[in-house]
Amino acid sequence: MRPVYVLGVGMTKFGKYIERSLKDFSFEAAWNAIHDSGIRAKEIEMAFFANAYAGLITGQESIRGQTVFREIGLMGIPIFNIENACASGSSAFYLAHLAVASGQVDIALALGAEKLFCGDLNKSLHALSTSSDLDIEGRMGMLFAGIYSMRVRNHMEKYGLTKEQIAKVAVKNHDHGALNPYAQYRNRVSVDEVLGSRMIADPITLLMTCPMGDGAAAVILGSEEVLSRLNQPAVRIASTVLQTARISKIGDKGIVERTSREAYNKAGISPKDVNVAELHDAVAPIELLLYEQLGFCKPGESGHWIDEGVTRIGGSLPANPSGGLSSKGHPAGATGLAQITELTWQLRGEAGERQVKPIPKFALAENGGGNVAGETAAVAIHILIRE
Amino acid sequence: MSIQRKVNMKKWVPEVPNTLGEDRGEIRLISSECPLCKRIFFPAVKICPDCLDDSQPMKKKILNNNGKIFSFSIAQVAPPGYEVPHVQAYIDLPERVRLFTLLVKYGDGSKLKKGLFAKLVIVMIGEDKEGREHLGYRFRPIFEED
Repeated sequence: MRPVYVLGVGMTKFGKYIERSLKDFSFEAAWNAIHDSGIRAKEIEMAFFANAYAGLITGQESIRGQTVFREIGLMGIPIFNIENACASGSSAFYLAHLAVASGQVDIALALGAEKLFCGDLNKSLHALSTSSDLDIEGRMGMLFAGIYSMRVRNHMEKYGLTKEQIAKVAVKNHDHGALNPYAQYRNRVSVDEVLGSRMIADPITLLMTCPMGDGAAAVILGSEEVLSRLNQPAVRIASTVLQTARISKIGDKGIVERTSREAYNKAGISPKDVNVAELHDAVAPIELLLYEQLGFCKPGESGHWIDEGVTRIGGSLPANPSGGLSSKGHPAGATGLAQITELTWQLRGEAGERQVKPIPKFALAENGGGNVAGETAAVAIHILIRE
Repeated sequence: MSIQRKVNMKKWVPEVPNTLGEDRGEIRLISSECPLCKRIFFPAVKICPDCLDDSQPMKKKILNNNGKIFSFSIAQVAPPGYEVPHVQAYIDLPERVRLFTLLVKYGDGSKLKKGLFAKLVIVMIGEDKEGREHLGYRFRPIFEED
């Protein structure tokens, strides 16, 4: 397998757009990425379209990518529809990488788009609820807010994390989102406002959850030879790993731990080499558990980390400089690719007011989706390196 | 939805496939035990995902009615079709099975905590067009003063 580089990235501002369509966002993100890369659109040889819920929201099934690429103007080439719930974007990225690394193509596009906001909240909530096993946990009414609240509360009881500490993650992410022109929410919030907002499932309150929203993000990957003729800093994919839930025994390592160990091994680095990360904060407090599961800090140490500001822009390991899912938003199919877009900007020194300094060398993206047997169904981790 | 334990003479099906069976006139939780590694899976499975060896069938095993609350969540928001508030929980059974369930008879929720004992409750969800009763499993926490 040969080295693969990020040639171009692009995304739309996430938000609630009743009048815009999936095709509309996708066009904007794809052409942003094409212009960013400097390649001609005709050079794209293969495309992966990531989307989780359009079937339920708009009714478009089975050929979503082909209908979207019709609008974008890219037809004829192999196009694949990729669905892995909220990890769809990362899954498309993984496959685009595989297509170039294997030598099958020299240039591949991964585009993710979602339209979750349709003016009917029940429809959106129903769509999200289909990301559990409908025969089993789904039939019993398992909800993501419930699962997250259980994990967070158990962690708080085990390690003494406080309500204030879990609220601080939402505060940090909103502070970062305030600096991001692409973020859905750009308002700052206080610990008191977060704790005082509507209770969803104790201890998760409304301001800790990610918003319902729409948007798209696109990443173009290519070989070293293609990169060499572009005027682009070299951002290489050091590793990209995707794993599936197991029926874990009590005491087993969870899916984020397993996936990240594989990603670090393949990249030849350890967690302390990571300079910036984009993480899947479906509810903001989960970020604390992720710091530990990814090996950034020891079990139970994440509360201390958030108190000390370690993961703020300006701290020693900024997490979610984009604002994360909680502030930037979470149009499911787009999220994994929006993470790569942000990290690419960071590695190139193009992140504006959010720029991590000194310019990072290693960046890590963690994206998860769905739930099977109590574990996240699909987790993808990508490590990028600035050469 | 009514709460009952013993099966009556009507035909019944479980709400969630591969979770309930009859044992000496009572509805019980059923699981599968792998003949090779002895690991127990709930709901019951056709093949052990660890061993992936279909040369011998999985053994059916009845699970204990009593367990301990490992975690719980009082949900105040839910998708359409689910009432609020309701309580989701993971129960640990002695067979080293951790199962997802909903709690019943938990009062106002203020006395719920990790580690409480909980008992299996079989509930009738409703009857289908073929006249079969749909049965589900829930757990009832045992508070100190019970």
